[in-house]
Amino acid sequence: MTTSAPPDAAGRAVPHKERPETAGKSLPRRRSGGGEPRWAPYGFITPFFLLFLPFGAGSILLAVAMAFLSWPLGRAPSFAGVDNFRAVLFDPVFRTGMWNTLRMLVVFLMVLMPLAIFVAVAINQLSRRTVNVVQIVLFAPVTMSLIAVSVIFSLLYDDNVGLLNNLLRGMGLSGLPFLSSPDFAPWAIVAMRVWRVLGYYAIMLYAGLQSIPDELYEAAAIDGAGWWSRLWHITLPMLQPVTLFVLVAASVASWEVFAEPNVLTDGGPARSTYTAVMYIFETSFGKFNLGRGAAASVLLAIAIISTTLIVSRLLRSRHQ
Amino acid sequence: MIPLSLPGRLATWAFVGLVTLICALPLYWLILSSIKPVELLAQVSLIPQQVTLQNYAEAFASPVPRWLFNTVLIAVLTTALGLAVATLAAFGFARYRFRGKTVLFALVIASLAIPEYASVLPTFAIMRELGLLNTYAAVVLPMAANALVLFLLRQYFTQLPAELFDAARIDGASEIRVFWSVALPLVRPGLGAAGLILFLSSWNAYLLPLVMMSRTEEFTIPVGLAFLHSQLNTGYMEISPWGAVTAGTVLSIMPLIICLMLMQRHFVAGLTAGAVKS
Repeated sequence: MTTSAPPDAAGRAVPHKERPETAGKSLPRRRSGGGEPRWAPYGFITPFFLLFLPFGAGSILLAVAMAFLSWPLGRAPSFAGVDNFRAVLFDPVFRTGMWNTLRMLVVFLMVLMPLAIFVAVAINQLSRRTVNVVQIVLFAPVTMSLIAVSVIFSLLYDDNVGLLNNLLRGMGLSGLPFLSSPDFAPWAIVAMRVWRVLGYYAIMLYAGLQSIPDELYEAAAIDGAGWWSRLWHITLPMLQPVTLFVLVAASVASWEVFAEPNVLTDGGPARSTYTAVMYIFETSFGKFNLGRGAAASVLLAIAIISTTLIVSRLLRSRHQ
Repeated sequence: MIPLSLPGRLATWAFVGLVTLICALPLYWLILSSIKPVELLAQVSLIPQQVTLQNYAEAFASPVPRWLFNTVLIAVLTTALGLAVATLAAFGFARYRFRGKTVLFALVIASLAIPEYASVLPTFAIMRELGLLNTYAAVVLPMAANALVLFLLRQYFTQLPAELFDAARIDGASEIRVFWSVALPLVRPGLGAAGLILFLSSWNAYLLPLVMMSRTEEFTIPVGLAFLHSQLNTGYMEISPWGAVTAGTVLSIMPLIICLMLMQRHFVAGLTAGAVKS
């Protein structure tokens, strides 16, 4: 621990309590304006917490509290018990939203994870200079807003002006209803989401790959292990902490899908791309029922936390 | 890594080439669409047959410039305020021992798990009570308190040698002076990465400004583009706004793409910061 008041910090190896005298007194004239070391840390952290307490930590408590209130927008809130939770749980639209979000999440992860690992392994074979060039292109999609990405993909998916359909028609095939059929729309959105984050997660995994010692691979190669065998027995287990992080981050982000279907399909066709956050948004700001919206967000938060726990449990046991 | 055989190397190059192409093509198609006449939007050709700036003229005649202005202002304010409060707090957490430190820091880390949508609702309620709806403050204040930025900066401050600070203190420097003149210049790379996180997340924010801003002229560029895009098929506007949408989108992504090219290292450090902590 080097994190201590000035006197103690001098000797890192020496436990700070053994040299309080010299330290405490060697500190020259303390000025009131400069802040006494005892109060200084609070002075440093206060501005952050002035913003963080209401909007960061406080807001989640308020969200839970709001879930137990009946609070139609513009009127005074009143206590509602578990009415909001009951109403949300029995609302078929909420269930549709949760189900759609979940199935899009599962497919998203199943497509994204193997692809991202393969891309990471592949760029790991390239020279550092090449990686630096490739990196810019791989990173570009994740710097764009979800809205910009949605606009780009509507230029690809659109029934009339979309590039993909015009390509298909140009080849004498019939176009596909990428966004206008309930069978296609959710997966078209999943494909777009994979496109946006593939390079980003691949770079993260690539950073993880670089910390795997070369000797492991050399030893395995001497033992006659092939490429697949090395991938399965060395790369994947060694990469596990980063994989876990990517998996958790990607699944949390996937539970929160909102902007893309909001722009591209408005939750349609036939509610096939209607997501959980769209329900929260519609209930709170469309139907002006903040209490019910908060109850739905608490339920979604529970789903997110459960997924995180399940994912980390599964991955840990696999490599025990 | 074990060097690959020739077929293996060729396969690697082909795969990376393909992935890079897939990442780049949609972006190229957007830029291409923004410089060709709207009537030719459906034309399949990778080389523009006819180049026009008409779409950009349309974008500039629409509220797009106003939205860009709002976004720049919000992003700059968020980055400045966010960096200021997080740097101070990171220094406090990294260099001092004080009562309540562990609990407070755990609170910050725990908040990383709070999904954005869950805090938007109560933040909306707070802002309405404060009468701040439809103001920049309603978007800037919540986004400036960024736990990831605090976490990242604390890492940088923790790595500085303690002797440095003691020397400054022995010379009679005040705590704030130690922070400003000794510590801050040494964590400059961290400030770059942290600033990029703040700038990127506020530039691209959608849900928060969507909820807080109800008047068209106060929209940020993502909210505005989503609004314009929603007008595409309604026939509500006289002319199809495709031109303004494509040109506006290009204008909205260019600043960050340019940043990415100029400051690649900060970008990688900032955006992969999350993985490092695991």
